[in-house]
Amino acid sequence: MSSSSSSKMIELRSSDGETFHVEETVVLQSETIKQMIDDDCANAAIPLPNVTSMTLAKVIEYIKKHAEKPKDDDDKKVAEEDLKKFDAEFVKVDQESMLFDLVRAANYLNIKSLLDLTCQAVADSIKDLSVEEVRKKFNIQNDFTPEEEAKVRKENAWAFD
Amino acid sequence: MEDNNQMIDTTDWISRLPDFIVHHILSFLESPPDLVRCSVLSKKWFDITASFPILDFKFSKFLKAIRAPGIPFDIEYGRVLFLKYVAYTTSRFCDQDVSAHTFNLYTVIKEPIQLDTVDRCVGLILKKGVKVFNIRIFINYSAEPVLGYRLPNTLLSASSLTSLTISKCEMPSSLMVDVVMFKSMKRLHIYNILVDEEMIKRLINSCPLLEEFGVHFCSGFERFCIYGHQNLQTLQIYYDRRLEIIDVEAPNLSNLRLLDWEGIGTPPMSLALCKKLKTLSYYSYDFASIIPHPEVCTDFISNLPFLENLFLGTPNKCNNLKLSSNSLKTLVLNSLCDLEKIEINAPNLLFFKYSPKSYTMQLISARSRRDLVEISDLGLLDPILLRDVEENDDWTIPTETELQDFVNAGDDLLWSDVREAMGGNEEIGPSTRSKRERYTDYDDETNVGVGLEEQVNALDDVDSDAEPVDCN
Repeated sequence: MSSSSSSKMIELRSSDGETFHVEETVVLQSETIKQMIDDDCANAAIPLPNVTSMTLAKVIEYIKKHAEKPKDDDDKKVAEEDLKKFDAEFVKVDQESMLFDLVRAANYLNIKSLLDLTCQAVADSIKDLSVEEVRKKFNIQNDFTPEEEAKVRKENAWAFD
Repeated sequence: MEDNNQMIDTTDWISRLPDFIVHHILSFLESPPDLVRCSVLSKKWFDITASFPILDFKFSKFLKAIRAPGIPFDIEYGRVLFLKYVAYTTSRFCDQDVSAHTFNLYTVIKEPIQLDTVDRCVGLILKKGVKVFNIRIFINYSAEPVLGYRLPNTLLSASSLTSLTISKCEMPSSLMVDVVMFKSMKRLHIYNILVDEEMIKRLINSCPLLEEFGVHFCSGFERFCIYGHQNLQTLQIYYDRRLEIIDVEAPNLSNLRLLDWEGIGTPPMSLALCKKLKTLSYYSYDFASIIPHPEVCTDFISNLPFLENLFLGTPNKCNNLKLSSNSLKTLVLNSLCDLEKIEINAPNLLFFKYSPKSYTMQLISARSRRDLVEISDLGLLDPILLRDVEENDDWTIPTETELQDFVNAGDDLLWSDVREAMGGNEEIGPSTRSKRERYTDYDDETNVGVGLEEQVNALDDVDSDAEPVDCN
């Protein structure tokens, strides 16, 4: 059975002007875009002023993968495993900033599974680190005075051993 | 590791995210120390963590996070730290101008002063528009027996609540006199609580939107009656011999789960007006029972003409099972009963799964809890283990879709076999040897879908007084 029934293509335009053509069935994973299509605003290219082409390409890679349907039940388990592996690889990005761009894009485009995946990845990278390590990793400027910080730490000293 | 000449990115990306996204990230940080550490990163983080609307306080989880394995630790000192953390975090949150989403508080109370802390935090959070409220407070003072923690009357006016689970506490004293404003409540579970028939009615009638109701190991009533509730879809009743009748009129009830804790069978049930009742689980435990079980009475099934899915767990001692239903499409049977003694007459059955394993043995049974404590006294077992068991607080119930998935998941294992075995309209009985062999292969797959969860729930409550044992 060939499923070459050509689905409608939707055109997306990134903040830096690049256009992407994606099947409607795939792009519907974004609640934001779905709403636009439902409201009949998708006849021309949909502008996504908050998403760069680099991020958008990643998002499309994600939703395409997640739109794949296993052919039959036998493939279901294999496909689930495969998807898990894909997700794990997907959040291994070279630059920290890309992960945050994806978080923002997932939020803006309202793709819940991608938002959860990326937020989980950020949380995982914080887990079990000391305060100093987290600050260093994320370039967080400590604006407490030493006295203030000591006072805050004292409230729950057990967390810092 | 890498020697890059690239520009190092010094932007603080994470702090630039909107607060609600940072909260979403924080919601994936399970451990209390991680959350506390985030609060000292910077002033902004101090504020973001203060307004984090999920307040999850479980003593077992706390203890596990702060205690290094293998090193002796004073549990009661841990409890002092825990309650201080609860008080600090709750009052810090309540100073913010935001509403709470979730408040969980599970602990044993060893000193009256600790109860004051609990009461103060509960009082504060109930004023903050909390939606999900789960509380289990077990009072365990050394000497005299005490009553449970009496929930404040302000609970009854918390109209923001959508989900409420109360375990081991006492109902607010004004339940029967004050207006109960549970107008948003969709999910209500009570565990180990003394309630009478009128209180149950009062609760149910005060929750017009209620979709899910569970009464677990509660005492004080002989009749369980619900009349004319329009939204109720799922009902769980865990009962013992004191329950004399179940009388439910709920036109949209689709899922009924009965846990027969003493293996006494079902009380008389009047469910004829529940015309959407398609799924029934009936699990019978007999480790608390004194009555032998020559036969499982499944008469009630013939009175449920719309029943399509039946999950049945018979007592271990059961040696005879008969059931007959024209509407039944799915049957999952969990039984040690000899296959030759099982008689099933269900001409429209599409899916059948038999698991001969004793489901009461799949998890540590409540009975063995004392043994565990004794073992842990000897230092052979990490006492936290007990808490881990108790920790499993997923009081969820499969939804219609999940159930469908559950059935479908089994389908690809058995579908062809079932179809083949079905032939025409002939009776399907698992009486051939080949079938027995086949079914045993699937033992560990999905058969525990319903039973396991109930067992965990059951354990959860029976074991609530199981404290981690001090290693000192």
